[in-house]
Amino acid sequence: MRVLIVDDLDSNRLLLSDMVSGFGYQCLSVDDGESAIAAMPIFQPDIVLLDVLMPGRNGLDTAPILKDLAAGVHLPIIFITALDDQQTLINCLAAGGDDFISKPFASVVLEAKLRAHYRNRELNMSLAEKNKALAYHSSRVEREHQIVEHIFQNSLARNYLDYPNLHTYLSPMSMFNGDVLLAAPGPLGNMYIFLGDFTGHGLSAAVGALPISQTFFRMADEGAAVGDMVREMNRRLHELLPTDMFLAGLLLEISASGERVTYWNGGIPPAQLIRGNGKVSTALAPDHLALGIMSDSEFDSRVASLRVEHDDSLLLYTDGLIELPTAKGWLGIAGLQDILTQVTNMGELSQLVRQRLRHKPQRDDVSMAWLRCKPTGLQRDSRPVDLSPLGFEATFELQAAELKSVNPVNRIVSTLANIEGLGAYKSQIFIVLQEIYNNAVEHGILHLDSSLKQSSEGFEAYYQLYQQRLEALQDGWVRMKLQFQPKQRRLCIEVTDSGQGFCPIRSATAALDADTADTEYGRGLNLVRELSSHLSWRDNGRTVRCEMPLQRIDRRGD
Amino acid sequence: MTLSTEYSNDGKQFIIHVKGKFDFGLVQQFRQSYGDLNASTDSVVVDFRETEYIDSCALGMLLNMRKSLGAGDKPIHLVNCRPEIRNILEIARFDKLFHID
Repeated sequence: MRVLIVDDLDSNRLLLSDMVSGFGYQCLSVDDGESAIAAMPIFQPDIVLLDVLMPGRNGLDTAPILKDLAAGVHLPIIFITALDDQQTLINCLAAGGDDFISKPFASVVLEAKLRAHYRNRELNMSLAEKNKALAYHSSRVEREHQIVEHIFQNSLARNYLDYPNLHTYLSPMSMFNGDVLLAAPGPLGNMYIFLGDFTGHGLSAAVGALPISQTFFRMADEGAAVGDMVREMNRRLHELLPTDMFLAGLLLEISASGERVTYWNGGIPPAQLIRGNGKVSTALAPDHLALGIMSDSEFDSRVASLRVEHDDSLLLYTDGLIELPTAKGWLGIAGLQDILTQVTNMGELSQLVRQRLRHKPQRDDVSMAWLRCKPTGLQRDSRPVDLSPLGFEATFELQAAELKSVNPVNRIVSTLANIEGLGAYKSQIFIVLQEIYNNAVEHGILHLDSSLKQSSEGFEAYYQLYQQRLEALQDGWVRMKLQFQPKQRRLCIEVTDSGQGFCPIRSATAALDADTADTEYGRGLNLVRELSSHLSWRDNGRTVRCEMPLQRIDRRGD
Repeated sequence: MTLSTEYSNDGKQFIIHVKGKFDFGLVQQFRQSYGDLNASTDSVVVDFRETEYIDSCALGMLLNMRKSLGAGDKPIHLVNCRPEIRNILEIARFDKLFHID
């Protein structure tokens, strides 16, 4: 303990410094206010014994300056005073004094006072230390939050919450939201929406959102099925999360037509279906346990589906919404449905929710998504793709042994799909090639009769017979010639077989009559005809030539 | 496995997924898949999201399924078709017999 003694009387200074040194404390004696102020930074006293009446700057003027110089830590000041008039005592306290000591100085009392005041100072110092540490920690946490927030924003950069038919409302209780709302378009013009609610809120809850969003966006790109997507989400969370943490989640997929909603709901309150006529009903019920609880083998990924109309809307929300406080307790599903009959869009709904929140503090995150069930308008671009400028010609000849063991169509199509621009047309190329090749094999080589296919039993019998005859095949060949003509944007296919030839006219006519789609044969040929610009036979039907334009063909009726 | 099936959560819908190629290689497997439907099943969904190719034989299989399920008694939905596949289904006029989505 360091004690600064300030007194203009030599006798007082001597007496006090003797006593203080005698207690084993360091001391410094000065004889006026100015010297005391000058000594502050050098001596750094823990306690000041300060005389009231001194020439020059007196004790009452000096005390506040000394306090200011104490660097934010409590500096006890004990006034030395012979006076016992009350006004001086009051002035001393007003000037920042903490205590008094008066002559004659009693050694025991002085020591007790010094100790008591030093204890206060020590307490105050440790508090100041802790405050400093706290300030350091809170600035560190803030910095870390900023980093995590940055990572979050990046991981959610793809989140398609601007999808025009989706309106969202999120009100996080803390900087990080325990709720997750993700939206992404699929490759088929379909749209995926995921609403999740982690146990707890804040940073720990938000951390789980990273793997979930990664899985969601990756699988949405692949156009994965809802069941497969939730299975993968569950697997990842089960792996990562501690057992007491899980994610209630609702994943839905709305088809490109906006008419079909496929969903899986584990622990999210049921959505509300708002019909065009204003009727509100509960839909998308939570049939499953939340994500992250069950192991993959126990997990139930079965989905359900709902047919919706074009003026319907679905409101998805986390339980924070129905747990909003009201005069009678909380909102509840009935209360929400009541509100929904009064509002027609998210703007009105969120305004009502905000009004309710103003009255009572929010207890949980509230997230809502209002989805209008309309055609998504996200259908892939159908402009023709750029084709490789290099044309080519290729011929494949298959003898009996190869006809039995090799499916050339698969191989040819997967090779062609690797050529720049052709991949976009692979389904079209496949079906044309497959039909023409199959015609050659089934009719030219194996002499199968399509009329057999007219009944369901015959259909299977036909393919059994096909297998049998193929296995027994001794002779025969099929030659396929492909010409890729990028300038004309077309692929020409010519297939010749070693058979007797056949009369295609009969099948073709049958196909054209088959507008009811119920005729069991000739369908293949009809498809080829629709997908090609030119189809012809020569060589008594042994050779068929088809020119296929490489463009997306307009659908019938469009 | 290129063909997989599941029931919807409420058991009312039977869902068939065909992965990759939907062609004559699946004739038997496809027929067997719907041969023993639950009594509670009221509709069938064929999910084409992973179907890259179909041929006329697949169209025949779908028609056979329709016939076997009572030609319209249980609606059949053909869902998540790629544009090209949808195109093929529509050329075949399947939109008259199935719900194509």
